[in-house]
Amino acid sequence: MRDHPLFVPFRGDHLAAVVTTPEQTARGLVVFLQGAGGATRTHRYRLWTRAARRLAGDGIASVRMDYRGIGDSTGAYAFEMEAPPVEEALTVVTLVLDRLGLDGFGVVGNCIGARTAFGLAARTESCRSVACILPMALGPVLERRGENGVASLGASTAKLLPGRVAHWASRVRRLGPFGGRPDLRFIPEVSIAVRGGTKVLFLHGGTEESRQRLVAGAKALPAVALGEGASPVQIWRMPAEGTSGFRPLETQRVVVDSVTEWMDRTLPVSAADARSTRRSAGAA
Amino acid sequence: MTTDDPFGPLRSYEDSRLGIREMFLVPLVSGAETVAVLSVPLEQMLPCGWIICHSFGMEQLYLQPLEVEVARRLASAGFPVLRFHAQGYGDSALPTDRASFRSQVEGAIQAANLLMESTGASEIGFLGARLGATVAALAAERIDASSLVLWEPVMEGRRYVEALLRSGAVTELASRGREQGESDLAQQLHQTGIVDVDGFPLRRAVVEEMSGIDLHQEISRFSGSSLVVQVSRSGIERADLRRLTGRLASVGGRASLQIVTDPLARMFGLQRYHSSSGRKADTQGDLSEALISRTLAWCLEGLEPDSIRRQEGA
Repeated sequence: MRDHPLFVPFRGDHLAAVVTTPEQTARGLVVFLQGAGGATRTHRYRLWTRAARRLAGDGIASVRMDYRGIGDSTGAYAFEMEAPPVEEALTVVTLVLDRLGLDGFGVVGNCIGARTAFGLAARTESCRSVACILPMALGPVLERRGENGVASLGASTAKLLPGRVAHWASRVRRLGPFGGRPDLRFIPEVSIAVRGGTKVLFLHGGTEESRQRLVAGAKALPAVALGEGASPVQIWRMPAEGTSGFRPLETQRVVVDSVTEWMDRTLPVSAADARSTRRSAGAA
Repeated sequence: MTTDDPFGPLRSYEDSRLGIREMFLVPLVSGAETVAVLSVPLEQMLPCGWIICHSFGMEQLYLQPLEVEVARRLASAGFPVLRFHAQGYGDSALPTDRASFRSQVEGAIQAANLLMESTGASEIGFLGARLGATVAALAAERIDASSLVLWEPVMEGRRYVEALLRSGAVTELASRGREQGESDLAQQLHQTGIVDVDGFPLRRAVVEEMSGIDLHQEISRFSGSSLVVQVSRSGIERADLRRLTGRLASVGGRASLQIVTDPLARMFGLQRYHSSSGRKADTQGDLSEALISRTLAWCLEGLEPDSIRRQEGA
């Protein structure tokens, strides 16, 4: 296993990244995308560093990156859930795939990184697999409902409100302003990715109620609704207790195990397999 | 690094606006590889190089933006600067539960040797915030460094550990609704040898080594110049930092205590990005700028006249 730190030019700035390669020829690439609340390329508790090493042991290369203005990247910091850094991620992935001679990748995302992951998957046919980590809220992969009401109130904002107000704001956020139960509506990139053949894992750590919503939403996705063969969308559970910010230590272990297992299952089984996939894509 | 590295040419970049080059290095520190960033001026380099020492646990992550910024600004002013992940942190090779205070001090000293070898720096300064400042002071003490900058240093390891355990207990209560006192965590630490503090594995051996730290006592021979910065909401000078500054002056040379006042002083070392309406913003930009500009002014003030002339001539 070897780490290759690098700076990727991006619109006048430089994105810092670390590529981890296995000893043997890599059979695929995984891109790690954390939230944008200040976490660097290693993610909190070094989740990405740990997963990168496990993947390298399975013959899979990976790249973890700092968004613009974060960690060792240059530029100004900006975070907007409605404007995920898809271009930044695409620039890094394209460069790394080219340098490693690969053409397929998987992507692991958390918080705004999950939204970015689906943005990447929708933009390129090279994305074979997405692992979307949702420790608490489904918000990062849901469409924003309305611009002016509490229906679009984020969970983190609700936490700042006084007790009873926060309680009702939370109910309204989950159930809709009139107490009904609105359908879960994914961002369009989720459907585009699934329709394009990308396999999707939701690693979910929220309440049972939000899990049921997620299950219902996943069943409504195009390729899943057809019900042909094994489902391309799976929902795995993270320990639900105390998962705020990937605590406790057990939660971190489950995340690393799940992500590596999912990518091991969904990326080509060998470098030769990856090469033949590339040849047939070229012939087509 | 061998020549077959497909990413070799991307190891560094230049910023002509700041007048610096930054380069990734993969040095051996504390017996295993890690990732470091060397920041150097594009023009004439000053003889004093700086090592940035990061803090402990989650503070390492929260203080990183400040450390990156000060490294770039120091390099822009002519100083070579090296920052690195100690073992157990970031991109380093060893696992998180191998992080320890002593290995951070050893790592800082090894980083100083690397900086001297790679840039020709003849003098070394150490800079750090919170427990990183304590690391910096002990490293400076060990290798006769020329300069030291301590931002809000941790004076007593025992109190720092108690605060970590208290924070872990509060998190348990907030996230699991499980009331667990600081003493329960201490008992768990004693029984199992490891305790989960805000998602960070804290080992008994590390707690024991940190509990023995008394920064005032540890300083006995450092003879360089030092700047101690207190971050305060009120502006009232802390007696322990005044005492530390006196100690540094009595064993060394120039030593000064400066106070940076900021309404968010209590947030120093904590999460700096906070969200509102789907956006996040940096709440500590002003505090960072005040710390960096004070530090830069102090570093430049201490330069030998020869160095300044060389800089101006360059």
